[in-house]
Amino acid sequence: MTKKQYTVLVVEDEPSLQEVCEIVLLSQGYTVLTADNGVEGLEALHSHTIDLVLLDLYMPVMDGKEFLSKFDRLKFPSTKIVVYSNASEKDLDSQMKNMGADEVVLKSSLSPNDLVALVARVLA
Amino acid sequence: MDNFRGSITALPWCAFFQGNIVEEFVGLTHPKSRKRALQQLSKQYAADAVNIFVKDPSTDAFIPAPGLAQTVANGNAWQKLLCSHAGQHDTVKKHFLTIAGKRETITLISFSGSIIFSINGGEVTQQQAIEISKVLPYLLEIFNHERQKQYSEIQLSTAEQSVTENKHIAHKLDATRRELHKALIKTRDEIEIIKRAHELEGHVDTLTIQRNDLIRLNEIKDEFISVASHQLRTPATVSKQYIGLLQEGYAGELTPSQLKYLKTAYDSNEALLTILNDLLKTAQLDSTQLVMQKKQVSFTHLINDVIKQLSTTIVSRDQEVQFKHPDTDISAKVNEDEIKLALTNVLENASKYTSYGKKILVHLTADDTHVSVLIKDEGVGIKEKNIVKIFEKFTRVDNELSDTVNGSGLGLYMVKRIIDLHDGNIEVDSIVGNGTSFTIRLPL
Repeated sequence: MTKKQYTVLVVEDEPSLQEVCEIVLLSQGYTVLTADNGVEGLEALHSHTIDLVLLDLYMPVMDGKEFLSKFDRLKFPSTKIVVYSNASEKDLDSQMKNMGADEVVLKSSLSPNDLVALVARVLA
Repeated sequence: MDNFRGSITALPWCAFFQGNIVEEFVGLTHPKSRKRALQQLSKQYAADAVNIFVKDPSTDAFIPAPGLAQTVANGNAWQKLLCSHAGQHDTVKKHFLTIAGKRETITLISFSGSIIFSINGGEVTQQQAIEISKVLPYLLEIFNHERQKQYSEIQLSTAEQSVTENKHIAHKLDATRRELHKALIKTRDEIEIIKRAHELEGHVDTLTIQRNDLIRLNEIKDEFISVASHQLRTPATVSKQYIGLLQEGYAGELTPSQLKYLKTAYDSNEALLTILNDLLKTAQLDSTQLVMQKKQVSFTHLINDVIKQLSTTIVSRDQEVQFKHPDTDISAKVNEDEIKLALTNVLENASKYTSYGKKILVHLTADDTHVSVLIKDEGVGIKEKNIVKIFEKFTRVDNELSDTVNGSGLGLYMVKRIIDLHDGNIEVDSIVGNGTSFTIRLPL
């Protein structure tokens, strides 16, 4: 039951994908918070203790890149960030890691169980 | 006498004159012989010197006879003395003149107001003066001739000088003309160069605009691919996730037939995602202009990663991958993600087109210039006529397994494009029924 100690923030504008993440991660005992865009994501980050952020890239109001540029690693040294997106850009992986992401994952490549495995691995 | 124009060749009276003085005078004398004649005259009169002055018709003044020794001393007094004799004819007069502190006896003999002999310190009789007067016409002729000659010489000299000067000026003008011609040609060339430069600047401006347009278009294309990939993948991802929720039991247990139907939906959705991914990747590679971000990458690690990534597929097909590599690590400067994709595609193909339970060999080697990766399977092989087609877009060749293998027909096109962007090459060797070898060579 150690998993319950972890809080995952899902920053995702697509409601159905938010829902899937919630269902899957709640079933594994994680505390799950959701945000519809980067602004809400940053607010949640400041008001809660977040262990992992699942971050989409294309979102209205504030996208994932801007969220990353505003994310202060010094303030949240133990918060992991997984860029979890369907975007396909040149050198996206290295670009995101340079901006502070711990992992970059193509959303369409994961099934629910793959997502569980990914979150467990990053938080381990 | 002034108008004497006689011949100087006939000298009938010469015999009466003592010595050859007249001959000396009239024999078209050289300055030396004229000087000698005057010396003889001096001797005859026991004089210190004999001088001859003639009246210059243009100025009406007496001047030393051309070409004869001259004594001009005591300035004004001497000139005054000469002028006082100008109007007298055939007279012999003795004078005393102080020249440079010395009192000298001067005998002046004036003839026809045109010629004056001055005899310094000697004695001249009237008879001698008459004798001398006989040579006057000839002397005048000589003097006129001499004066004329001198004038001509001056004229000639002036003319020659003028010619020389003109030649000099002509040379200068010619040189200036040549310089101007050169300058004109140079100016013409420069004007042409400036015109060309203006034209080129125009071309450069146009090219810069076109280049900027192309860069902008490329950026728009990249952005489009990125946004399109996100937008196209999202619905398929939603399907995948919800099918996954059902398949993986998040919504409770399903019946075998429900699971079977879901599997079909899942496979179809996966095929859609594969095609989407390949299309987007191809579009991205096609828009890459020969420049890729590269870094030094360990090929031993990279190939291990690829094998690990495909392990589920390989294990599910009961296949074995043997990875041979040298003990020392081999690395090359490449774009890691792209090379990983290329090797994954080739190895995945090797697995897909090889029957269950067979072996696949991956052999990594290097020489001084290149790293080589051989991927050799024991699969169905490729017909020789199809080998040239396999790197083309949307090509799927027929073989005994093609019906069971999904694909977009873009996999090997992407592999070739990635290898080309690395200045490498890929070779295929295949025997139908025996297997296929792909050899990828990349510069170190």
